[in-house]
Amino acid sequence: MGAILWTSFLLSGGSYLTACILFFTLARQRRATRLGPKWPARLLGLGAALQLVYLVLFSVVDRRCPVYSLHTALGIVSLVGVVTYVVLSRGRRLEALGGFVAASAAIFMVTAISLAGRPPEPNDRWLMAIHITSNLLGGGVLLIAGCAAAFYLWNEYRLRHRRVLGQGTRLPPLESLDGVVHRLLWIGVPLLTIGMLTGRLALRRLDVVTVGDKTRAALSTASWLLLLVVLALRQFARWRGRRPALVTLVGAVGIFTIIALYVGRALLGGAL
Amino acid sequence: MIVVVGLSHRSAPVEIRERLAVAPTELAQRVAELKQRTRASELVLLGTCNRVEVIAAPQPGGRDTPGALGGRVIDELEATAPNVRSHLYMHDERAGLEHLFRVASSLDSLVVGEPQILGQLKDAFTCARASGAVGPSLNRAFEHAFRVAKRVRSETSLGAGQVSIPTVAVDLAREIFSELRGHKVVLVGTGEMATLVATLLGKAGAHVVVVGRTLDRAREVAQKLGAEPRSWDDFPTLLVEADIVVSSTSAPGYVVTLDQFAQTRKQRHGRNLLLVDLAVPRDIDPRIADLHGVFLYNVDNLAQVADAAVSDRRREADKAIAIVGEETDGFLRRLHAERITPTLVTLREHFRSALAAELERSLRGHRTPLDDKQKESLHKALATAVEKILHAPTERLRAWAKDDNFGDWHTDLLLAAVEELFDLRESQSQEPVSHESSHP
Repeated sequence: MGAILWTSFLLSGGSYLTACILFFTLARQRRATRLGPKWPARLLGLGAALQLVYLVLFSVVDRRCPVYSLHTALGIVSLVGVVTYVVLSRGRRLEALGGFVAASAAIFMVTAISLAGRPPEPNDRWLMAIHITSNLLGGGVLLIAGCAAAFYLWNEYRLRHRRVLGQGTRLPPLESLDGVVHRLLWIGVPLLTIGMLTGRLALRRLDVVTVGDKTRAALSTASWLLLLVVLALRQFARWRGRRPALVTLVGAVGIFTIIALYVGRALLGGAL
Repeated sequence: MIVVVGLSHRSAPVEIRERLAVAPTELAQRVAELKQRTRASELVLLGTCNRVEVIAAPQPGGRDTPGALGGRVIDELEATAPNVRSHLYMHDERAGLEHLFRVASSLDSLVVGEPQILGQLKDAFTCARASGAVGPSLNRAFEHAFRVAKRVRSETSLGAGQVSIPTVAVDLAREIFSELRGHKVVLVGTGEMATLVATLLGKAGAHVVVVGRTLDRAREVAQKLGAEPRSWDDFPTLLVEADIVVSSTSAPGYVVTLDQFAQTRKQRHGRNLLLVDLAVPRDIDPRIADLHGVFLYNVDNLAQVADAAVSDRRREADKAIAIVGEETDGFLRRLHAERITPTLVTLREHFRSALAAELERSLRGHRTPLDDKQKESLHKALATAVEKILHAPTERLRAWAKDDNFGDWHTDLLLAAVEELFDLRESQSQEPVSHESSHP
């Protein structure tokens, strides 16, 4: 079992890294070549399948729900991001974003190795399972939305300053990125809303609320509010372009900071 | 010999170039004016969005030099657009020819290797010729320039990859909109390059709308493009709906102003808009580029982008430059060789007439007059003797004139020596020999 576990882990990480190299190679090519975007996307898909195998096997061996371990939770975030990208990228020339997603997934996997400890399971198991699952799914999706928004701002800057075509990496078209951000907000914000509500309930039931809990709760509320507002404005006021991209990026950075705080706390032995 | 005076994207930004821009409808008139004011014997005016150049030639054999003529052209251009002098360049003699060949071969273009410049040069030449402003010097120089351009195209891959201003504009649209299907393109004006951009965008699936000052003109262009014609009154509405606006009118001022655009901004809800301004003078107020969601590219900006995309062509450009240099040398050698032709013709005539006169005088004193047949054979013998005597000096003079190691001054010195030694100047002035029809 252990051999299968590590083989799937290594193969998954290898697939992500290879996909990352292929995506960036593709993004730097100015003309159409025989290397199309299909192969790196397939590799990314293969990596995700292998990572899923790893996560399931790890949970079986660990005999606990994957959402209760930060090791598997981080894996779920990267897996959700990869799957989201693979589904949404079809026919959209998002190679550079794919490279970034693949690299992030590999980094998340490597970071997760040092988080394979067994923290105590929460008392309110069902509430926490819903809370963590929705946050992991929503967080993974919204992190990709944040990446797409960052790419939007970067490409917009290049286009405004006429630094395009044949100069450096070819970035995804603005309209594709804008469309991706919109769809991901529609998927991620409702999930995050569930996570927010369940989080509030869980926080009320806690006997001792630490400063770290309060900080994370405040940060997640602010990020959720920003993303909710941007989604509402995009939907009802047809808000498009640089500003919604900027707000989405800020919201995604908030979510990333919360994940980083959890990881940091785990790495520092719960000091945070 | 010719002189080239002008400014291009290399010497002046679009803000300066647009001050000397000439509308196609005014080109013939401007050629006639410039020719008269600069006292040029021949003159061609090339006006594109990237360059305005006057290619002129003084009277062959006259006292006027290409350099002096170039100075008068500079004064005239400065009078037309004050303070452009510092942006103007002048190439005369060999440099002028080489520059013309480089321009024709698209080596001096913003997008090296782009094919439009040759057509524009041909149009300028045709227009000047129709106005009677082209004589033997420019005719020969331009015909050779077209041949050089053809040779560069066939012997190098300078034009490979089809990168040009229109293709760059379309690629740029794809950087913003990805799929062009279903997007609205508004074509303002009927400039050649803008029409080409609209055609390419139309082929990519965009919905093209043509706006003209008059609906008839818009209909005419729209029919060619398979587009929808609209009148100028609809333009504010179209500015709200448009995703891409391609503009190329010959209007002297801005066609799309900041105020006009600001009114439509709210209704656009931050949707991205690509503005492609291919006109010189510019059609779109450059301040619009500061607004969110607006990507404004003028001719210079597109060329910079294209230039980065065609770095491979720079290697080919070296080959093309070598061809242009070789062709310039060849052209000048032929010109030099032709310069000695009148002197050689006069020399032969001088020998023939002197011997013929001597023969006639000796025959007059002969006791038994010769019949016509005998006279004819004597004349033939004399002509053959002249050919034999002058064969070696003729060949040597031709070889020296073609030799790269000898400059113009050397050829002039040789010709002067021959003329002085055989007292040909008087003969030449008495019997002028046509440069075009003379053959030794």
